[in-house]
Amino acid sequence: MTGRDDRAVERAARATLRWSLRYTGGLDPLVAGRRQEEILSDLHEHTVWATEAGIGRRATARALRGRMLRGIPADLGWRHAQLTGREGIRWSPPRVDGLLLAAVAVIGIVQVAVGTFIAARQVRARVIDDIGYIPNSAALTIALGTVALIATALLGHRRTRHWGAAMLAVTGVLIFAQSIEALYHLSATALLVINGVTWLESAAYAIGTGVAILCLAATAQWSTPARRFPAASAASLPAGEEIR
Amino acid sequence: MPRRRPGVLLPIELAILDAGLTIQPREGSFFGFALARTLAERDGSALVSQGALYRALNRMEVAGLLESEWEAPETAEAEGRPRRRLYRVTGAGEAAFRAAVRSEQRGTVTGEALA
Repeated sequence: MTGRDDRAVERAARATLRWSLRYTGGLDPLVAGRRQEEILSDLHEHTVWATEAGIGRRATARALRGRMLRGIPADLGWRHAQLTGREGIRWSPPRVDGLLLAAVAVIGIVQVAVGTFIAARQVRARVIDDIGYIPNSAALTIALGTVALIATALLGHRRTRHWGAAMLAVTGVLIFAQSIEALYHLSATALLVINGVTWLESAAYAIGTGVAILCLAATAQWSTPARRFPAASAASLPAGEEIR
Repeated sequence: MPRRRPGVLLPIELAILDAGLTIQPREGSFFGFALARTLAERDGSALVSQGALYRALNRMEVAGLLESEWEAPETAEAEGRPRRRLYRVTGAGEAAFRAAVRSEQRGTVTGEALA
């Protein structure tokens, strides 16, 4: 170990401190001071640890510079966040995710039930010779109910959950209005109700749209791939957030 | 920085919670460089940069996953070093970590988490 090597460590530490002064410039003095003090402590601890671990002074100097350089994007991001007040984790309890899953699963089950009900009514109508054909709306509702069944099954796995929610968004828009139209053909009681309530179809489309929006929100929620734990794939991290 | 979905912690945050929960029962609290060292020893990787580490710690404290206090100046003075900022994982942080581990374990079954 030489005096020259010692100076290399000192220069690297000073460079890091100078950089910390630069990127904390213009920030709240309290915030800036705390960051600088934390960096100062980190540099000291790093140097002491390296000495105790028998790491050469030049290697220590390189490590200090490397840590500073690799951290620049995160430092700038932190500065920007301090200036804009947009730092922080939008962290919500896992319960929210569970509630969303429960809501989408209920939507799926309801859609399957609607499709099944229309299928049953269609069979019954044919059996009692009430109707001699399959209305397009009934066929479509049954098909949508079948798709909803597959989509609901996809909700069971995290990997396919977003596909299930997306499929339920599409079926959700159509199935309620189509089922009403199918009942118009298949049920005398429904015929009377539909004739009496003119806004029923519009209401069904409104409900379907609401359901679709919820399902699309769930799709967005679940479409982000899960992060690896504990070691991260650097590619999955935002700029400056790598474990580096 | 791209948006991330709520309830999901970044890998560095998970790693910090994991390391913090390992150090905390032994030491009572932990400081930045101790975390950097622990993470490097676990992964066999280089020491995490100050930028990434302290930004993550700051963000996690804002989110209530960690809490911090500065060490008493006398303690640091007695040991001839700058004072440390001492962090602790909060109850919310521990709950978030446990939830993430459970979630990852489920993901591992399908291999999704390694995607």
